[in-house]
Amino acid sequence: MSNLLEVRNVSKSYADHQALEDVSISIPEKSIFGLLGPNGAGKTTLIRIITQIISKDEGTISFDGQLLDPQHIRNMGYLPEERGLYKKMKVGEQLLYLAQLKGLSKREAMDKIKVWFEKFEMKSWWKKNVIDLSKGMQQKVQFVATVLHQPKLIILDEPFSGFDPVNANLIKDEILELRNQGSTIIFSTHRMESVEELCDHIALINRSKKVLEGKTKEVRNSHKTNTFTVDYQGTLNGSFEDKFKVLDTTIVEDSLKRSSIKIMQNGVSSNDLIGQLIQHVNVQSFQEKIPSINEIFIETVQGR
Amino acid sequence: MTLIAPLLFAGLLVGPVLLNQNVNKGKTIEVIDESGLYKGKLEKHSSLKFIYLNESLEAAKKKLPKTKHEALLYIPKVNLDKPSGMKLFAEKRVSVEVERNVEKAISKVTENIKLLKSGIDKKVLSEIKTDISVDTQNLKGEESSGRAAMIIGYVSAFLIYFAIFLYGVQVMRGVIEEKVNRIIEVMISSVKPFQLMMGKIIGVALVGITQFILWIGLSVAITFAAGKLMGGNNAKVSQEATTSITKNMDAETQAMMKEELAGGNKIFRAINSIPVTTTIISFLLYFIGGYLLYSALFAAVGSAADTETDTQQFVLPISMPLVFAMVAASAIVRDPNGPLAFWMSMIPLTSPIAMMIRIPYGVATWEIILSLVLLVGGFIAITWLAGRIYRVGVLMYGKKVNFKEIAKWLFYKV
Repeated sequence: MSNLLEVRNVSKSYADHQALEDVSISIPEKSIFGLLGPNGAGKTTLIRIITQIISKDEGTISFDGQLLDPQHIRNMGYLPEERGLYKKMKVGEQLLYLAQLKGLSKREAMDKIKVWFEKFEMKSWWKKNVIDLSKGMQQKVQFVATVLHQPKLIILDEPFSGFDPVNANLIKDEILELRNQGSTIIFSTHRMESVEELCDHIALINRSKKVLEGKTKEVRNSHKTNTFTVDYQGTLNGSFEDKFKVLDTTIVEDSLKRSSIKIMQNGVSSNDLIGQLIQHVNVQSFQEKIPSINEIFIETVQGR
Repeated sequence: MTLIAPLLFAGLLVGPVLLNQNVNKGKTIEVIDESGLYKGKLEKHSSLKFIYLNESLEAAKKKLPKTKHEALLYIPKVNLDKPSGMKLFAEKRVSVEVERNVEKAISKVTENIKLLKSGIDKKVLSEIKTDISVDTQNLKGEESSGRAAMIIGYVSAFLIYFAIFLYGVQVMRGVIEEKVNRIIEVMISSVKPFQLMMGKIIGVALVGITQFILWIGLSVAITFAAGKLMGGNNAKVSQEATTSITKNMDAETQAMMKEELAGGNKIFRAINSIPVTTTIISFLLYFIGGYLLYSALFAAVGSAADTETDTQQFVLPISMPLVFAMVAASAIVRDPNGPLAFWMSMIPLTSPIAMMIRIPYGVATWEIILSLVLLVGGFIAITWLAGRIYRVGVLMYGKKVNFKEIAKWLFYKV
């Protein structure tokens, strides 16, 4: 799988602070790429550099094998975190206008708008002024405006904020559908709930540096801490042997307990742990703990 | 708005005339003339009606409320050299207009009596009174009139002044609206900020030109139609209209204009002497140039603000040159080829107004061309600066900015 977007050693500083420092990211084609990071980490700056709203100080960016230049804008769709439309314009006219700005002919735009209007059940909105729509409805219109010209790269900055759960699901399905149709999606967020579900790849930016990048699964696996969750009956000592350490224990019900046990030495396998456990207690279940993206996020951000 | 505005304009012109016309009509003043000098004479000098009574003042005063007459004028036996003691009684307060009319009538009658007494016939006097007006001619022998030139200069300068503010502010509002709506980020991820800014300026310019043509056309049409309805009183309409327009000019200029309007036809003859083609072409060029220059400034101001209230501190300084040019207009008129006039018509920020005031007096072609080149140069420079402020400003939220901050933006790499 080739990379649609290659960001190499990009730095950017504003008058009073460095917003990005030597950031490199590869975004594979036809993937959903989670761009994660706390508020103010530099996500929006990176996105604005990719969408060419602002320029980088250093580094290179290539899009689809070519160095990024203004004509690539037509192959991008950008949904900014701060949503906005022309309030006094009619929904239909507005979509038509925005699509034409991206290089679609009026006819193409019309056809595509109709498809989306059908899909999102907003046929009756064509002649409504944006200001007369609810916030959620406006967000839908803006989502349509972002993806209407079928861009190769879709950049969504906090796409679910402001949507109710029903509409958030609708958008989530559309994002997956767009990926399946061949679009690449950058999905920027500081909320982790939807990341595991959606993202094939993630990168974590913290304090203007990239601190983590990779396939979602691999990232999670690489953050395993050799910790296992064991349900059992009986009693375990705090450190029943040097190789293992019981991190915490809770009582699940009656005599059933649950402990997190960490293997402390290299070269000790989970089988060794099981072997030890069955000598002391009656094991009911045994499972490796794989950290969630949320945990990795918090650990990485707070740990540094 | 496009269609209502001409109605408002025409209303502005016709309204005062309509209102003024009816002030004195049908109003009756009772007169008790103990001096016997004024009987039957007052009405010659006023549109008011006068009734002369032969009762005592006290009796007349008592009856006045029932008669529905406007007021009661009491003239005691007076010393013509120093007439005094005249009184105007009314149930309610009389209007200034009535008071003035009565005073005028009395003083005219008094004057006439005095003239007769000193043996001068009024006829003789009016023969003595001579209206002098010098016919100025330029060296080519065409008749010219400084006053006609002044009016044309003022009107075109005022139109430019008005348009710059009206549409410049519209550009500014548009920019703020895009910022407040947050559509700006979507827009500048599709087009360059500079393109967006220029697009807005040019778009508003086209709206402006369309509106202006409609307004001028419709206002003229409605004013004339209204004039016809009022009994072909066109001259009066235009005279009153000019008075209301020129209210804000200094007294001297106003007096000159009024006098000139009274001259009527002469002006129209003199207009022929004004470089009409040059004036019209320059008007269009300065109109467009001035608008473009200032709306770029207004766009920059809009981009630096989050709300319209934030813009005030910037709007004042950028509009100073324009206001100054308008204030200096009367000085330019007095000496259209002096150094003040020359330099102000060269500096791009003031030239659209200053030059339009000078042109009807005849300005050397090289001066106009130089001034236009400077205007275009100024426009390019200011648009470039405005563009640099704009591209930073539109992405800047919630920050109160000052001039120092904006100056820094000019050097930002974005």
